[in-house]
Amino acid sequence: MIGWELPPFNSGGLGVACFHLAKELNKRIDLTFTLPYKLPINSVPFKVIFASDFIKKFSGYLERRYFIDPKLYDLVFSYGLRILAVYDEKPDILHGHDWFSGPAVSFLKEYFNVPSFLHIHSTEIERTGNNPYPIIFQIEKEYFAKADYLLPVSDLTREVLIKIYHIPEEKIFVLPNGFEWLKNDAHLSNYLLNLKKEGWQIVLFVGRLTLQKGPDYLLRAIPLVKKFLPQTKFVFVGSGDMFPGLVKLSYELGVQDNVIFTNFLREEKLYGIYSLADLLVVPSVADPFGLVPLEGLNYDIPVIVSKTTGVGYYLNNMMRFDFWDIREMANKIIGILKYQKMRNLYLFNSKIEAQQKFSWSKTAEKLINLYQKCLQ
Amino acid sequence: MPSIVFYFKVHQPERLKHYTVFDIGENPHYFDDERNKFYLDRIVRKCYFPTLNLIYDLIQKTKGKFKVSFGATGILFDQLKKWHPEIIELFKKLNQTGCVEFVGETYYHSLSSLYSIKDFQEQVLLHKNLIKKLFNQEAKVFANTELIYFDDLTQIVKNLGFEAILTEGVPWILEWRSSNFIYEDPEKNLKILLRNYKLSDDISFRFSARWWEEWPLTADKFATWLEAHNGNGEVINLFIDFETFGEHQWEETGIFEFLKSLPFEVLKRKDLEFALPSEVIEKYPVRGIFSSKKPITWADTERDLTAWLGNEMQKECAEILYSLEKDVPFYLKEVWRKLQTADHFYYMCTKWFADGDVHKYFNPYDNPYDAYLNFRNALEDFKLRIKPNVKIYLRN
Repeated sequence: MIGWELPPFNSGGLGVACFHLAKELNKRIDLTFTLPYKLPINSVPFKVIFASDFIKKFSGYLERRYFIDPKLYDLVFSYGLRILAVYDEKPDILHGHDWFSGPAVSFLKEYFNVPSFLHIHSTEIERTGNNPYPIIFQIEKEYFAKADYLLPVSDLTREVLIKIYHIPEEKIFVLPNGFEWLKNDAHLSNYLLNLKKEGWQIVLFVGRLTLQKGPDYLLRAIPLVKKFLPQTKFVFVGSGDMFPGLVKLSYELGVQDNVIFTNFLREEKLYGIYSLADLLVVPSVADPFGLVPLEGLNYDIPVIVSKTTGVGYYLNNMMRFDFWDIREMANKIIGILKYQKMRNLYLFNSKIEAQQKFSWSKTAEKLINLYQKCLQ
Repeated sequence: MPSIVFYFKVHQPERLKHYTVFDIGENPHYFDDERNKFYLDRIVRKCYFPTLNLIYDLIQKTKGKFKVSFGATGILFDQLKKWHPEIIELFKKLNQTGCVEFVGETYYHSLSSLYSIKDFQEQVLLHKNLIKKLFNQEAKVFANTELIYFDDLTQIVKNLGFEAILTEGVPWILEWRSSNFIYEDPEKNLKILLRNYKLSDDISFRFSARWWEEWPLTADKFATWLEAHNGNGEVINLFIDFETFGEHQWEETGIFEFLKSLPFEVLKRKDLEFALPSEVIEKYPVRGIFSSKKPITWADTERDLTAWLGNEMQKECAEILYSLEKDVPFYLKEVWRKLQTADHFYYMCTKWFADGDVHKYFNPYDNPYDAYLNFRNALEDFKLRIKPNVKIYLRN
């Protein structure tokens, strides 16, 4: 499996997804996971090899603005060769993740002559709201076409692959992510605890502050919510290029006192905020899968999502809105905060349904079935 | 010689428009005329118009031997009057054949029998007057919303001038007994006609089901099943949604062909006839007692109220709605009653929802929570409107 990052050295959901998938696969098949650089990872329950000796210094692709770090570009294209230098056993299957492992997968596929799978967690089109960075878009087009099979994580991404990348339908198989339904230790913030004691309700946004995740739409819904429920705090967890603009916008809207930006948080602190929130809103413009809604349910808070969030596709018990429809978003936020009986029933039913539909062992089994089909 | 009793439930609710929290106190219009007309246009085109005409033809061709009864709600007639008066004319034309009976209902297809006896009585009488006015018929047989029945209801229904009630032939109440006889309640207030759920569902539910070993169902085959009851049954009650014809079962499934030949297949067999509910209760004696203390309905496999009042959201809305009864001024009574229509509660049903099941039919909502939110917002507004400071509101 050709990977890119693993927790805790990850910048988003990709590393987490890779970790759990690899862990479950490793119980059933012989798996080797590759990383492009050396990370001080210990206690990983599967075999990891590092394709180079240098330690990760730059921050990965997620922080890019107007140019790709040339070092990153270099690494993407030399990744395959570097793997060969440390690993020469012929695998049965190659499985890469997203565009940055595309060249490596393609290179190794030609070298070993084995079937290749490319797991598509998100496409450049979706990450940028249809305003792709040209080089990455080119790489995606080229290497998506070269892979034998594509595994998008949702039907939404599947559509994009067919319509925009012109990938033939028969080589696409949707493979929804699983989820680890365990509550981790949480660090409860005293500040938020006090707010709750004073009668504030907390609405949560978790995700990068970028166009793709739609934080600005949620921000614009706040004045409407505030009119009904003045004691509502909106907590934005995440960092990203929109941050300065969002701060400015919150003043323009006159809701600065109802908004808290926490920056990027991980683990205990993030879990702590989840445990204290009353509602999680996912207003993504495009989110192929999105683990955040499931994390919210895991910490027992109700979740509402935009219609363009992948999870909403799979769960019937999920309230959805158009990301641009801030009035409807506000209507649902107020409704859930106001009508407790609905809130409780909604949370209960959506959590049960999600637990039944998303588990990593299910995903791994589905994937192994696909492997077997393709090897025949 | 078994009599076959057809009862067609004819109903369309007045659905709510998209009503947000921001409309509370601002917008006194709850009902979505545009959407309701849209659904009605469609159902008239696909079902009411062709089916009623077909039934008229069949009555003519069988020289009045084909007979059917209708349970048409007042709220449906209200909408037909506004948008499709020609369908009311069709009903009138059918009525003139003398082969059609109109069964009593709650005017607004409401759950009032469970919450307010007073309003239940008023709604039933409203409907009774409507039937009298439109068709000059005195309704003698009653069918409650969704065939809700419980023993305590019979005295009330009797006092409203009815002689019989229709309900579901619930197998665990009947046990070894057959639904194909006339029953009565323990107090002997009303005669009871029980729905033969097997044969009714064969038409309404399984007609086009390819997994069914009896598919395709022909009129000949069905008449043979009916004939098989000869000697061990007196009435075979086929109570089905009228929308079965052309809507639940599309025209392409052959449902109209089935209906077209069924009367002839039935009448070919000497021992079968069609009859109206008010005829069979005169013709046959009471053969036993049917009793249920708890409300039963014709819904789902549970035959209970859980499709309308199964979860907390539904119960809460019903409780709030009926708690307002004493405060509702006369000029808001109609709105209050339109909010009582059972369909609003049906849309909030979470039973089997994760499996993406059947309750989606004609449902304007994406999920039960949206349905609740919409209804609840309208209800909050309604609460404001009936408060003493209503004048402030009306000025808006």
